[in-house]
Amino acid sequence: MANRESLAKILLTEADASLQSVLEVVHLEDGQVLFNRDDPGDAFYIIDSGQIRIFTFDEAGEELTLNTLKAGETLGELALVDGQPRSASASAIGPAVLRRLRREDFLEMVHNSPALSQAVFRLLSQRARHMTEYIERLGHWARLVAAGQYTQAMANIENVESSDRALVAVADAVKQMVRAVKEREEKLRKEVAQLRIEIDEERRKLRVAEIVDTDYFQDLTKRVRNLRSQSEE
Amino acid sequence: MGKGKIISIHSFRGGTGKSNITANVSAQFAAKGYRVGVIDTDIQSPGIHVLFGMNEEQIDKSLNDYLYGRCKIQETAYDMGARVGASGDIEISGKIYLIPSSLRAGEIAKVLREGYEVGLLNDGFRSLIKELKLDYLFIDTHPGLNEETLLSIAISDLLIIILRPDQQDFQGTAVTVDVSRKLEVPQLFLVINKAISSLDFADLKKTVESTFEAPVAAVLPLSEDMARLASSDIFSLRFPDHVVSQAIRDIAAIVEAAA
Ligand SMILES: Nc1ncnc2c1ncn2[C@@H]1O[C@H](COP(=O)(O)OP(=O)(O)OP(=O)(O)O)[C@@H](O)[C@H]1O
Ligand SMILES: [Mg+2]
Repeated sequence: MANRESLAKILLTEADASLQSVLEVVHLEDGQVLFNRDDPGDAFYIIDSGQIRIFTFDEAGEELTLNTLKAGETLGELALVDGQPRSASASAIGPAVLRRLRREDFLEMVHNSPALSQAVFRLLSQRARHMTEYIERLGHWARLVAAGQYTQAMANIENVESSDRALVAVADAVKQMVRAVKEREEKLRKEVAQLRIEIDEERRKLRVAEIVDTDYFQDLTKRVRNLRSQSEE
Repeated sequence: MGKGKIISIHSFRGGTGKSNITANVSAQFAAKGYRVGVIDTDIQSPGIHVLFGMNEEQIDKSLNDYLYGRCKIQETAYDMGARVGASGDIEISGKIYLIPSSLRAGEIAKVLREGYEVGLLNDGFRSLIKELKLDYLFIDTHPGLNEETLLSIAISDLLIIILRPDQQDFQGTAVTVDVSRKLEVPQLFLVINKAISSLDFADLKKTVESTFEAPVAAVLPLSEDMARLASSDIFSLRFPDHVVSQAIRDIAAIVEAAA
């Protein structure tokens, strides 16, 4: 999964001349929102300076940062191809400058350049392979966890190369899951193993009294005391 | 002259493993070279003879005959030397005698109907120790706290109370421990038997010790191997390397050091 081709690279090499004319410069102030989750995915961005934060909201409505992108990185590649709504929101950390490529312009460029359209195909098939590999890895981890081989699962997860952010995020989530499963299992085992001893003290006293308060018992204790003192002589 | 110590093995409820543990621990003592006697005072439902491979035909005189004045107690003692350890490699350098209770239905009915002079048990124990020069006399008791059991406990130098990790055993054991303390038994040990493997044994031992304020001599696992042998032999002699056998030897070592 190393050296993943980026659309930015393809665009800049395959369509450099025609690209410059359609790119539009965007200036963002600190905290300014570039797009919101569910907005139509109508453009692709190259970051020239500053940082962009990708975030979403968790179930409690708290902001959850998924990623932070720096100058030279791109965002919204897939939107160029499929035009689907944004899956997360993006905003600037500090002032930032980006260049925007609108979907319509991109599609026209692809239409006019066989080299670019081939590059797009290549990119999409690469992504598909990438997803399959993800799923296979996840399947492998799931099997290890199911078999209770937590140490091996953890070691396998540790091996994920750090250059792939998305996979690292999944690996992290799986790691947390393995820890949680292990912990719950250990707790349950302890609960099973921790035997409670409950003694009804009232009943205990009553039973003991029933036995001790008999003539036989009183007589027995006396006789045994005699026996013991005899054998000690 | 032997040490002449009386060791009672008791449990409040039945089926805890008294007979198996008594037979095994006493066999370990015989293997160590001691002269030991094993007496079945569970006259209502005798059982320990099975572990020594004895059947009804092989038992002529029994404890019942002594209690009804038909013979001397030493006439009811059977030398188990040839039977014990016959199946294993462990040599029995000491002596082991069994004093069985009668298996005859009529004899058992007579005891239940008429009872017997409980005091005779005490005299019998003393005669056995003297006549057979015993170092240890092990008493396999009837569960519960009837008169003869109370007497056995009272005259013991050391009492082993067996319990399973079970709420009903806990309650009964609490009563037995209290009663034994009132009888001023010099030494009292608990043995936990049939503990399932998911239990933390060290933790169980600690919990039981603090609950009953008495030392736990050993925790024996619930063992399929032991159940499979079905009391047909002395387990710790047949399978000396088994964890159960190790626990049996632990009990023997603790008893030897204490009495
Ligand atoms: N640790 C163990 N694991 C599995 N089975 C055991 C264990 N200890 C004893 N048993 C089995 O439990 C049953 C009862 O054992 P045993 O006859 O020794 O108990 P007991 O207390 O003498 O019973 P009773 O009260 O009827 O005289 C036997 O079938 C024996 O094989
Ligand atoms: Mg028994």
